[in-house]
Amino acid sequence: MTWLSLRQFRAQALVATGFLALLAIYVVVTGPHISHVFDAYVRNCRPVNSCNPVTSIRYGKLTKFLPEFDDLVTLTPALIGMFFGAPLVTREIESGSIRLVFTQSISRARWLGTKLVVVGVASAITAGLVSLMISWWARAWDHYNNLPFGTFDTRDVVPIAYSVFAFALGVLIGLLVRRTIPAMVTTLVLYGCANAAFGQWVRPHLYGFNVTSEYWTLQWIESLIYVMIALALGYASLWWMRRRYS
Amino acid sequence: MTALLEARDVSKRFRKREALSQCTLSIPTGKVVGLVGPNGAGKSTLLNLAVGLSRPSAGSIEVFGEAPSDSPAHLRRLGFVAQDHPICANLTVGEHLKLGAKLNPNWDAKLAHARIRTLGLDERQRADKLSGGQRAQLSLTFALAKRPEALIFDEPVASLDPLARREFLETMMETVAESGVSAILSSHLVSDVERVCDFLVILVASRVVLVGDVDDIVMTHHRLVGPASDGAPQLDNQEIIRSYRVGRQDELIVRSLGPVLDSAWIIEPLSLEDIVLAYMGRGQRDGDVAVAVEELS
Repeated sequence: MTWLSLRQFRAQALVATGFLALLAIYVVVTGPHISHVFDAYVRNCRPVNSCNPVTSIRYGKLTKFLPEFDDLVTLTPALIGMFFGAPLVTREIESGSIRLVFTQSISRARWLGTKLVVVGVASAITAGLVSLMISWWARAWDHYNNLPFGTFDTRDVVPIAYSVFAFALGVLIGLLVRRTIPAMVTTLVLYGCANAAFGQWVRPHLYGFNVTSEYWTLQWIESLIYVMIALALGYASLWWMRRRYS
Repeated sequence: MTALLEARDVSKRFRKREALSQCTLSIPTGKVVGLVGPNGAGKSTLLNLAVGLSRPSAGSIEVFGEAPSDSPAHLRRLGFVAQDHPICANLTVGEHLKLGAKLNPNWDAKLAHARIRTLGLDERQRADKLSGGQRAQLSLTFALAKRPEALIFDEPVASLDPLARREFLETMMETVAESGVSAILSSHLVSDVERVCDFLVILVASRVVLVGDVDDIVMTHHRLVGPASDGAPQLDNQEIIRSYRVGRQDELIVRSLGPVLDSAWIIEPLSLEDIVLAYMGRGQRDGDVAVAVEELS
């Protein structure tokens, strides 16, 4: 079943890999240069420690893609929910292959469970690589900018948790809606709403102080919350599969 | 011995439409069963219930003495070919065989590969590029290589040309003869199934109208021709399935519960197709068919 899950995920995996490869090339080629230029700028600055490369427009073109990259990390979970999550079951319903699989010697819970785990892990890896590359590429800028909470939701661990959540959300919506395009649209809208609601009402209660030393604790806490919700959604999908289809 | 399929008062509703209505029947194991009825009679609905792809709205259905479920132990006993021959579109023929091997403990890889070779299919070809007939053959291969105890086919030959139809039925018969598995195949054409079936279920307008061994059915159904009577004809021992007025004669299709006592009637044998058509026609408005017969004669 793992083989089948991976095989049916191949097309998306190829697109994602191609995209990650392009991103990796750009990041590896330009990233070290940014660090180098920023550090040199600060080193050569007189009087010492009086200038910040982030506020200097001279270096604008080096990091001109920064807003786009931040948007990319913001969008990655939504894209994963739409393209990895929503079609996971709907495509098989639409093509009829679900009825081929359902009459083989395998339980439906195992079928869906394996797909959830395999593609869920792929979602986490994809989001992890995007976040890792961009966090690494922007590290000099982030360092001198020194506002870790300004980029809290586009760096490090949380984008992975958002993506796992969006994936599980997409799968469940797909199971309920049963058609790919409506499921993708619904996933995008609901993920956007959920994320906005979390930022608006939950996050302020988690940390009022925004103390830099708590950055990592808060990254992990927020990630844990999202992953727990994702697990609950995955469980709901399995429950619905058993109830509705078996 | 446990029945292959046992249905008790099974109904299935889709929203407001009743696709199957209080269906009660028992099919013994070891038979090749034809499930015939016009389009929309509920054949697919019944077979989907039997393989657990849907659940009845009311009543109970059992296959091999168990309610159909998604338990692997139960599913491995059934080989199902759905009407539209579902495949995994982006997988090749060879990958389908691999899929079958991975998902079925009894998978007969040798049989599967041998059949694909005999059919002249390329294992590297994508399954969604196959012709309708090749796709049906792939589905059949899939069901056979699973080594089930019962094969269940929903309209297996509807999408095939006459040559592929014959090949398909021959293959199926060979398999049934070799391995002694039971088989149920549905069709809206009795001619598709009458050469291969020894048991028949007729479904008309969501209801089961006749169940039995083909030999018994043929022996107990007759055409009676006699003088036209004024009212509706009445005969002892005979259940009248259809009656036609042809000129000055009455023609009856009857199920005989005993000998015909009235010597005014000439008794003629019926083909299975005649019998099935009589039952199917009964579900529609009798007048229409009778007019058609008069025009013909």
